[in-house]
Amino acid sequence: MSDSVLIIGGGVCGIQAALDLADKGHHVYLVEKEPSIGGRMALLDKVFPTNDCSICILAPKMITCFNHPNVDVLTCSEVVAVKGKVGDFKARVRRKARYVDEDKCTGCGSCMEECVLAGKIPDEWNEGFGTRSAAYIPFMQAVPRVAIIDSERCLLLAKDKCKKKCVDACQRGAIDFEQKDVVETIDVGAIIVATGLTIYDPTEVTEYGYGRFDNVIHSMEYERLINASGPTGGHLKRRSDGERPKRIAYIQCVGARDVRSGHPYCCSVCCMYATKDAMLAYMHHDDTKNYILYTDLRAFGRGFDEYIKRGKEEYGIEYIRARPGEVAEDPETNNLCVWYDDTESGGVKKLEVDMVVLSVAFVPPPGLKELASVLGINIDEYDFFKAIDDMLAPMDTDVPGIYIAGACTRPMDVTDAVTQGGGAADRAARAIKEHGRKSPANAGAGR
Amino acid sequence: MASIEPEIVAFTCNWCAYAGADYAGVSRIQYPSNVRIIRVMCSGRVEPSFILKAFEEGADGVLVGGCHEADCHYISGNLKARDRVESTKELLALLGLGSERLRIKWVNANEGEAFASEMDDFVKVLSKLGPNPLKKSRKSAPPTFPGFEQIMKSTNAYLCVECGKCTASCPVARRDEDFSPRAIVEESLEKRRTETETGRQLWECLTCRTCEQRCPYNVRFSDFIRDSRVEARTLGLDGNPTQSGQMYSWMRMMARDGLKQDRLSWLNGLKVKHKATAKNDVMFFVGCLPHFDISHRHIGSNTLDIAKNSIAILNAIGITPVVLPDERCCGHDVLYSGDTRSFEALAKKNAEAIRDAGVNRIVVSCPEGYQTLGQAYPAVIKGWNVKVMHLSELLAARIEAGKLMFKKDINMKVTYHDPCRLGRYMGVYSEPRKVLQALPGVELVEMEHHGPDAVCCGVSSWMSCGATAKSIQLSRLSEARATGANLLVTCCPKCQIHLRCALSGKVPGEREDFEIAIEDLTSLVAKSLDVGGDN
Repeated sequence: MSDSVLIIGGGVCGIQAALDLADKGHHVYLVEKEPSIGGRMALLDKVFPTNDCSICILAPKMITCFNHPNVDVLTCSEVVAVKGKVGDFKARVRRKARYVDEDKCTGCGSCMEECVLAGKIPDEWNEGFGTRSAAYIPFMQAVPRVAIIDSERCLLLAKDKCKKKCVDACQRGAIDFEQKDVVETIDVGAIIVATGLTIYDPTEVTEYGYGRFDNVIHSMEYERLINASGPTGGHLKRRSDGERPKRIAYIQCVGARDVRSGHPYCCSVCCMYATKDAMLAYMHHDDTKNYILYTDLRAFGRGFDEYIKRGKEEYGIEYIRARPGEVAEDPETNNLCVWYDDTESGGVKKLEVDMVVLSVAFVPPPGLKELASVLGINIDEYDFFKAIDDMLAPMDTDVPGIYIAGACTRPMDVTDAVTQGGGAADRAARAIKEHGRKSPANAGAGR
Repeated sequence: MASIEPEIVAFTCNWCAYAGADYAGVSRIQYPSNVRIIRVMCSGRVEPSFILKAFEEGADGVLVGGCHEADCHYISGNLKARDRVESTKELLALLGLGSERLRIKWVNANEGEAFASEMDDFVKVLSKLGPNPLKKSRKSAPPTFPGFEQIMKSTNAYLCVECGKCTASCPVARRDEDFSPRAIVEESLEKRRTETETGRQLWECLTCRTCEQRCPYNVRFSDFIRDSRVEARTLGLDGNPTQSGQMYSWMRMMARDGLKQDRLSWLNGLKVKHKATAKNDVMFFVGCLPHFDISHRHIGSNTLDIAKNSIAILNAIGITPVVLPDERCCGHDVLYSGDTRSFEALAKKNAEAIRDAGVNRIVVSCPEGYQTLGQAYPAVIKGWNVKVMHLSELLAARIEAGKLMFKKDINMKVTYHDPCRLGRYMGVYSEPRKVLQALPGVELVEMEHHGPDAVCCGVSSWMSCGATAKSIQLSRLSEARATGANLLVTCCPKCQIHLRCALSGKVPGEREDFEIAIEDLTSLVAKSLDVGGDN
């Protein structure tokens, strides 16, 4: 029997759940597959409807969570097996080798600078804009701010052939190529799944030219470009020529509300974030003209409708009710021509812009099905985790003691994810109280 | 036989032949009363469709009368009439009606005798020939409409959210502001069906499935149009068929009983058989290739070569295909223009002939035939379990298995135009490309719109050919031209005809922006295998 809780996924939802439980005195294992906690929100520039800086809100929570005496943050880790029942789960967690000693590394970045592959690997944390080394820190505000060595790219690990400049550069002797993956068993009384979302790959919507035309980007790429800590220092630049786009079209519902892509649902946030994106472009340069081409404007939350209104009135955003048919490129200027049917006035029109941003669907993250089978919980028709009752028990699964929260249950915004994280924490605490008995606190068992 | 009274339709020109017939009358020259005279301003006005329509309606003979050569009041209308009559005779021979049933005669305004003696002779010949074989067979009944609710449900039209992606994707809507797939579905959703049924727009759709390909809610607009045309047809409405409907005439004729076709005279030297002798025997479905070769000769179509080359290619890879002497039109065009009765009759006749020949595998070179036999027949023919494949699929499989060796270097940069039926309907995109890339010396370059995004050739089901179609064709050609290729390859005889047609007349701007040679895939393959006709 254990009153500890395993939380899978260290995004804003998992962090919230971890903090709530830890403050109540429960021990929490926060398992995160990536080298840093923070999830999607850590990569966003601003959040709607207040236009607050995203990382400014999140970073304090990330640090508090990481340093909380009742929280063990296990990064680079995945849950591979779960046995037992509520009050007494045994979870097997694979902790992948980081090849850097977390306790020694200070996050100074010398290894990154000295790595022979510096500047040669596309940076997935910046959606491929910019580059990184094989030894790197994912992003500036990463928690823990500790380097990691990419075992697939690192010449020594992948090809056994390198000058090991990183080892020489590290004054703390933190780099340890002898590290191995380890599988640990942890005892917990309840489990919260908060693995979040991934975004739809718009390449298959061939008519919009993503992947073919340099200046067609998706919304996550846009977030990194406009982000002050992103690859361009917050300067919006076209991939084709590095110029600042003065006319931007945002195409909504790409891969969402689309039965062909298998995602017929509304993602519920894109109308808002596209408005935010357009506002940001205008805030950076007020000669930017923004067009949002939408199917239906779904601004249903508190302050959302007013947000759209501000978008129109203060930021000059033009909302056009149309789902474009095609994006074409002028091969000389790399400008884009968006063909759409203006459904309000009627008639096919074309819009010339410098950049097209595709508001892509939120889709279940890779590995979700495997995790569901490890946990023995169900998934819904769209491959999100399935609650036993969407309305009255939205965080409960078929397995007592296992709860789901956040965007791994359906697309949702930060507010909802935080709400669900708190809710799931409460459900987990209650389950332990009902089914478990207090066990001696064994903080640090996971280390 | 001798007792029949042949019915003759005579199209006579206002200036000479009609006047000649009139002269015979006022001069009280006796001639058989079997003729019904239709006056036209010039014999050049007589289109093949008029002649075919007369036969379709049961005429035993048709005479076209015009001025003597060099006497035409419109300079050369009579010469055009002469050429048309000649080619229409070939069509009549193919159809099994016999070329003797059609005549052209130059008659001057004072040649009453000549008119009368021509009639005497014609009646004699026709009496000997016997009646038009279609006279006794029944025409297809008007189609029955499946019902509005049925259309809306089966095409997912109720799911439409009116986002306009269809209209913004449609090649017609970009050029014709009155045409909008979204607006058409909207009309139906709002129960304003009459506007859809009676509107010109119903017939403008190319049923090319570009909109369907992109529709987020899977509204099957092409089927929606097809079925709505059935509805329009029950109201007695029709679209504007090209060549004033001559193709439809012969298709409808083929749907009827009594026709004894003579459609295989071009097979000399090619190895074929008429019945399957082994379990795995393959039939080659010829379709309308010999007919289009005649009807579109004026724009230099050589669609018969596609048939010849296909069979030569099959022979070269060790296949002696079954070719049916009484094969009919596959029925694609009548189906997509809403004439479901004729389609069902054609499908039934073909299915019977195919079954009688013991065939269970068919190779088709024409994407429309492929789609119709593969997708539409199973819906109307019970127990239709024939495996249908496109020639490119067969060839690609052989190439992949290393069983196909090409001899001649083609040495060309080519681009490939995906036909709607082969691509968006049947999902065959890679096979024709595999075949092209396997040809020695062929460099394949892609157009801006290719694969599922390929733009239609501008006309479908011989319907609504006009400025919109021409504009679509020219922009397609300029896309092909922009690739730097020196040859545009396609797999569809109709794509070839439509694109060649666009180049056959005047083009806006510089000709070199559009001009590109167009060939069927089979022609390149045959060349590289060093078989088939020289084209």
